[in-house]
Amino acid sequence: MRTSTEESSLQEELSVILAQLQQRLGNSPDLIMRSIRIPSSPTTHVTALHIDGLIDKQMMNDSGLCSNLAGSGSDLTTHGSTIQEGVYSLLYNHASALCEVSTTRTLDGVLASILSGDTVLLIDGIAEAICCGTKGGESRGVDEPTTQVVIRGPKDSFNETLATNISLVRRRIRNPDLWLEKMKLGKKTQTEVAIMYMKNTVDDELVQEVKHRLQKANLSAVLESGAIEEMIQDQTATFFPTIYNSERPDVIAANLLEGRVAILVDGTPFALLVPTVFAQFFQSPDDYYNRFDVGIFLRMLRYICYLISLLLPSVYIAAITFHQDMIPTTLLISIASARDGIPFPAFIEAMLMELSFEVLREAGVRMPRAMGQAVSIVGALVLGQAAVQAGIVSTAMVIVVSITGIASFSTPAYNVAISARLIRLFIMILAATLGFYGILLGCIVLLAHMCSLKSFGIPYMAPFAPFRLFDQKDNILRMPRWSFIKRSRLIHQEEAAESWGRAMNASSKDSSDSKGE
Amino acid sequence: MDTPKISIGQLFALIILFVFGTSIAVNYGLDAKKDAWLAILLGTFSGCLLFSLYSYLYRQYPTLTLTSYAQRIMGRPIGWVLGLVLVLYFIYDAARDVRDAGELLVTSVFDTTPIFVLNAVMLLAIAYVLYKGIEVLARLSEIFIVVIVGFGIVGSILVFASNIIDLNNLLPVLEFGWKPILTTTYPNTFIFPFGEMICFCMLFPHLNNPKLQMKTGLIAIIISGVVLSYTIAIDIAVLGADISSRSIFALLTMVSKVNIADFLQRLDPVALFTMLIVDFFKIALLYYAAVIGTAELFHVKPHRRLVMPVGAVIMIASMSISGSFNEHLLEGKLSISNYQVLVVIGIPLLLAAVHLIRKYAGKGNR
Repeated sequence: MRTSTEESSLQEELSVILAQLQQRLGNSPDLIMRSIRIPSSPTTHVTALHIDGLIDKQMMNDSGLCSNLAGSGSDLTTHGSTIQEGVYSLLYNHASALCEVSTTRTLDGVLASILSGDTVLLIDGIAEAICCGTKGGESRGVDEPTTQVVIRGPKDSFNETLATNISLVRRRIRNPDLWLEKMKLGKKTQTEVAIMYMKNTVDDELVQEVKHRLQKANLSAVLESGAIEEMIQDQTATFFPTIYNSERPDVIAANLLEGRVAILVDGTPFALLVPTVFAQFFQSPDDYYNRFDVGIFLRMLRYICYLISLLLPSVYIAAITFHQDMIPTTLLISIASARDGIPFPAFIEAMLMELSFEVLREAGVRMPRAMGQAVSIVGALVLGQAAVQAGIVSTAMVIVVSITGIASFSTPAYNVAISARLIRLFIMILAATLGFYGILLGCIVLLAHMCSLKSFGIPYMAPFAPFRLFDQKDNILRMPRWSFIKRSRLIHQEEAAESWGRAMNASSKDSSDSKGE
Repeated sequence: MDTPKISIGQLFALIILFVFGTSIAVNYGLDAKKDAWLAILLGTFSGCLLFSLYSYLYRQYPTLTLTSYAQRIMGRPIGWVLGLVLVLYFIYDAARDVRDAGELLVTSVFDTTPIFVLNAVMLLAIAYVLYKGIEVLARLSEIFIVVIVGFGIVGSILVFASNIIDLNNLLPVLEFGWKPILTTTYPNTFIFPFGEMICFCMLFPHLNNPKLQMKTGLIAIIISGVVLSYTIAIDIAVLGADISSRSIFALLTMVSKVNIADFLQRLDPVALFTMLIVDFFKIALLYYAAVIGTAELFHVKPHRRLVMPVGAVIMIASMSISGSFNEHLLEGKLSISNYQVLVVIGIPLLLAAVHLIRKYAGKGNR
């Protein structure tokens, strides 16, 4: 697509350049060209170019980039040696008073500018174009978060505009240490990506590593942060997400204060956080906004729910298939009478139920919202009831699968809950073949796998393994706030000497201070 | 990261899990009848001495494994042969523990499942962990030590709460004098499991804080020895010395006596899980020592490539080691008193002696 260098420079006459631009954009009708007449120099042709819908019309019209420019009547030659140069510097000065301004000397530069929402001023006879930052256009407002809901806490969430998202974080951390770097990723999409970090808290090596990995990520299109996540994660062959994502500015701010790096991507409300540890997925901002005892209770509940969603069907299968003697007699009798006449072994029964539950869940997400009710009634009530009455599945299995399903919804992070759904199937197979022994070995291998994972050099299972006693204050437990304050001082003294691994995992201690405010 | 590092806390967890491995499951020290707990304490004390010997050797060569410094001390041919003997010992010992775990499962739950399958699955799981590296095993130990301590506390509370302990079963102490205790301790409760800790000599070079190695090791040995002694004492207090020594897995029999309000009855899974988890770590450490030793003797790099072959050898050995569980137990006793003593005490003593002679002879020459 690229034209030769001669063609792409702006040496030609204005009409030729405009023709070239139109040709490069395929005569696209949303390329708007406005001719501006300068009263004091009627012979100089000036054209303003922009793409419809990408710019802030308010800025263009009301503050009157064009009209203001046109109204100027001073002697042009005082600004430059020729009239054209006079017009150029006049326009440049006017424009820089209204918005941020850059210049370009190539056709590609002009194209890149107008495609990212700038208004470009071209002057006949001047080989330099003025790009005025008029980015804007329609975007969704700042709404309530839909995926990470809290009962108490801020109710704003990111939207699809990078600038808005950055400002939401900046508003929470009014500190010059909050640094921001931008880069463009995606060969075709040229998506803007911002890296944010707290300069004196974060480890510089980590920032370098993030930048290095982002630059190395050879993407042609970045439509969502998921694409970046996949390219920069440490290990692909795993069920577990090793990069945290959030649409909540308060979560991002809290993690920045802990020394993490946030990656914000234009076009998606989901920002990435690195490095990530497993325990992070079980922390909800709620924990810090409620009383500490409630926080501890809820957090432990989430861990237990995760275990239930991972293991309950397998334990049931193992107990029914191999270890009937371990069930108390009265319970065993009621289970046995419920299973009386069921044609399938427990494993097949569980698989059937699990699969139909997964189908229901997937259908529930994809359904148009109006039909969601119908699916849940037909799926859950009618089907479940009918299956039991027809003697295809036992009531005990329905209970087990329902508890598992509900438990899996209590994990705050969707992407880690989904990992439990996948792993559950494997552990069910182990339970059906080797009983509790299979479950035990499955768990050991699973934990070994998790221990071997790393996220940007940080062990994924920290601070469980490698165990750090100090960090237990905000791991499964969420100790009262004063204990964090004491600790944060301690860590600050350490910070200089300690390597970044330690500083990172000390995580969460400052978070409470920030999150509460 | 070039060399994996093991922290002091991880060493502590690994030693405790290792000492519990199999010894908590099989009838350990019950040859001394109701004084078994004394025999274990005596074994623990002797184990501390032995561990000091291992630590001494480690401090002389802080960057080398046992098989490497054997060659350094004894010269290449003799040291190499000693290394080979050690590696064979690790493989043999690992195979014994795999067999223990398999027999435990066959006896308690899987009476129709072939033991081959049970052993193979166990070894596959361990092979996966070792393939991920010693660091992963160390981190895993930190998680499971919490699980084991939790099981231990819950189990103890339930046993006490169900009122089945009869301390009279432990009395009178020293009914037959010290002789049966001494004959049980030397070599039985001494070599098994404290002598087996020679495999830690293959692990020490990975420590990130070598100064605390000896202190941590000794504390871990004492704690685990005391807990072992306590466990066996409870076994005897609940079952009596006679039934304890005649049941195949006393801990399992003891725990099945627990009955609280007719609801908390079957604690067997808790006991079974405890036995399997600790056995898992014991096998993993011996298996790792065998892999590293083989890699060093035959210059194979990276040592990962040997995980599957060595695992296969352990697998075959665990199957062919004996025809029945009784034969397996008897063979264990015989091999401890006849051969294992030579390996786990003889070789380190020989190395230390030659090292000292060379050191002082060298000084004299200068």
